[in-house]
Amino acid sequence: MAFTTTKQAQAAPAYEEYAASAWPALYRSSYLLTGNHADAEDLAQQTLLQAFRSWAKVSRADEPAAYVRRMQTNIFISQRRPRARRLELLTDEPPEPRPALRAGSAGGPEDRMVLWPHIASLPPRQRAVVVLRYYEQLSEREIADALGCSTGNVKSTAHRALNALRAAIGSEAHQGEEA
Amino acid sequence: MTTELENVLARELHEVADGLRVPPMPGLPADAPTKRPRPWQPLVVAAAVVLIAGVVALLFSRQDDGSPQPAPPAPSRATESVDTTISTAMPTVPFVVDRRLYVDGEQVPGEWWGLQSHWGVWLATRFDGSWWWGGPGVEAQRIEGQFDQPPVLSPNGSYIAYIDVSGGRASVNGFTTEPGGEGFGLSPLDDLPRYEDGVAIRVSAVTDDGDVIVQGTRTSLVWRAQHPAEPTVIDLADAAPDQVLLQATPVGLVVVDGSGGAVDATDTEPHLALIDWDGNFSLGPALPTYDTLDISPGGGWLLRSPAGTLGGEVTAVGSLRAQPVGGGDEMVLDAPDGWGFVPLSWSWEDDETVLATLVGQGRAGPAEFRLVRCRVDLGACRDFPAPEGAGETARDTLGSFTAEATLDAVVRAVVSDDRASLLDPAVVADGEWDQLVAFAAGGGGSASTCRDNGSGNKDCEIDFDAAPEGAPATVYYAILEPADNAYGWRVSYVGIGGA
Repeated sequence: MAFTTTKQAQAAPAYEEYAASAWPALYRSSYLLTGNHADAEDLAQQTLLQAFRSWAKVSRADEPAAYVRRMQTNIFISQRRPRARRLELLTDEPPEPRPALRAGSAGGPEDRMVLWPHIASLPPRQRAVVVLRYYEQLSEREIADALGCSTGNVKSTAHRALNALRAAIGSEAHQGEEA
Repeated sequence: MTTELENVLARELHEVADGLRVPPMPGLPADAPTKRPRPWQPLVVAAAVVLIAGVVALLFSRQDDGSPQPAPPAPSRATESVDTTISTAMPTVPFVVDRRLYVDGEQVPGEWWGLQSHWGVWLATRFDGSWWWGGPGVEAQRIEGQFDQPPVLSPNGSYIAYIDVSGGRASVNGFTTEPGGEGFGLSPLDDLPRYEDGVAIRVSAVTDDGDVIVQGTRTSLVWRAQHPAEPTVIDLADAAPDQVLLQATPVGLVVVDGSGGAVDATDTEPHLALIDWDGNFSLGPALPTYDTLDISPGGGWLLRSPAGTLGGEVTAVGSLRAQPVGGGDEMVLDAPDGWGFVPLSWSWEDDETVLATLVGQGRAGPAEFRLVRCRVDLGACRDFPAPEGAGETARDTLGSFTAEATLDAVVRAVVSDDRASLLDPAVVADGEWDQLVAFAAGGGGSASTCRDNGSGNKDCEIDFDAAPEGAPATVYYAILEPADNAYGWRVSYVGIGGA
C-alpha cells in the first residue's frame, strides 16, 4: 500500500478549550443583542456551532475572537426564523419576560435603566452596531469588518440608532409630562 | 468625542452584561425524551392550527435568574390537526414508494430500496444488489464493481465513494457526480483487506471536500482524494484513536468513542467532529443517540429515529424526532393515525421540510402507501397520495437475483451471523445455514463463481477466510436451485470440495 501520511500539525487550539473559554463573553454579547436569555443562549450556541464547522479557519485566524464575532453578528442579523414564531409556541411555562418597553417601570436593575429598554426596539443591524461600538468598544473599521460593510455605513447606522434612542427617551419624557 | 447619551449607553450595556448570570455552556440533548402518548390517545387540542405543547428536555436550564426551575419538560408534539399550509405538491426530491423509485416525478425502471439523496443527487440499490446513481443532468447509471458495503454519498451530493471488492481485495475509489464528472483516479488504498475480524471494511463517509474515510476494526484512514498535489492518506489511529466515524453531515462528521466497544450511536453518545486539512481531529458538541440521523441540507436541523426504534423486523415507525442542531425545542413528528413511516424512507426536501413514505398499519390486504411531508419548524405533517405504480409491482419481479448474488447475500448473512438480514429466510434451510456458519467459523467470506451443472441448478464456490486445521486450501461449495422465494434461488446443499 503506497501512500503518504501527513504530519500532524502543531498546537492548534482545541475547539473544546476555545468554546469553554469563549462561552461567557459570547453569552453576554448575545444577550445584549437579543434581549432575552433563551435567544441569547440560542445565538451563542449557534455561533459556537458555526465556529466548530469552520474551526480550521477560526483556529488559524489572526484574531479568532474577531472571526467569531463576525459569525455571531451575521447569525443575529440574518436569523431566518421570525421571532414572533417563537412566541407562538405554547409551553408549560409562562413566557420569559421581555425587556420592559417603558423605562423607569418597577422591576430589576434593567427596568430602571434609561436606554436599555429601548435598544430592543432597534432594528437588528442598528442594535448590532450599538452593541459592537458601545459594549465591545470596537472601532468603526472593526465594526465594518464584523458586519461586512463600509465604515460609512457603520457611521450612518450608528447615527440612526442614536437618533432613535434619543427620540424614544424624548417621547417618553414627553409622555411622562403629559401624564 | 462622546455625548452624554453615548456615555449612558456604554454604561448601561456594561451594567446589563456584568449583571448577567451566565448559564453553563450547553450541549445538545443526549437522551431520549419522555415517552408520550400516541396521537390516537386523548389530547387536549387548542384551536390553533398547530399546537405545540411543552419544551424540549434540555440538559441545561434556561433559568439563570434564580427563579424556580420548571418541571422537566416534554418534547413538543404535533397534534392530530393537519396543517393545511403544508404543501401536497409532488416531491422535489427522489423518493421510493413500494420499491418504485421516482426522480423528478418519473418512475425509474427497476425495484429499489436504500435510497439516499442530497442536493438532487441520488444513490440507491436495486433488489438485484446493483448500485445506481443519478442527479441533475445525469441519467440513472450503474456503479460498476462488487460491494460488501453500500457506496456513500457526500452531504453536498458532490462525491460518491465506495470499496470495490471485485478483485478479491478491497479497493477504495469514488467519483464526482457532476455531469461529465471524473473518477478519483489512482487510489492509494487499492489493497486493503476485505474483512477485518470477520467484518467488512467500509467507507464510513465521504465529506463535502471529497475526503474518503475508511474504517474497519483495525483500519482507520482518511484519503484526501481531492488533494491537488498527491494522494494523501491520514492514519486516524494517530489523529483520532478509538473514534468510530459513523457518517458525514453538512455540519461535520459524526463519531462515537469506540474504546468501550461502541460501533454505533445507539448506546454511546455521539459527537460532531472535524478533521482539518492538516489531519487534526476536533471533537465537537454532543448529539443525542440514534438509530438514524439526518441533518438538513443547510445544517439547521437534525432528524433522528431514536435508538432502538428501527431494529429487527420493524416495518414502520410511528414518529420521528427533529430539533435544531444548535440546540432548542425537540419536535416529535407523528405519522398520521393508522399509518407509519416506512423505515429509512425520510429525506430532507429543504432545510425545514422532510419527505417520507407512509405504510398503512393494522389493516388487512395488500400494503397501502402514501407520502407525507413534515415541517420540522411547525412540528406538523400532512399526508397525500403516492403516485400509482407503472404496472411493475414488487411481486412481478421478485426473484430477479442471480445465483451468485443470492449466494453472496447468504454468505454475507452467515459472516455477520444475521439470518434476519436476508430478504427471505427460505433462501437457505436450517441445516445448510448451520453448516455455513460452521464453515465461516467467525471469519469473513464471499461467494465466488457459479456454473450451470446441466440440470438447471448452479454449482457455486465459496471463499471462507477461515479454514479447518491443516486444510488451508479447502474449497467450499454450494448448490443452488431455482425456487419461488424473494431471490428466485435456494441453497439446496453445501459442502467441502473432495469431502
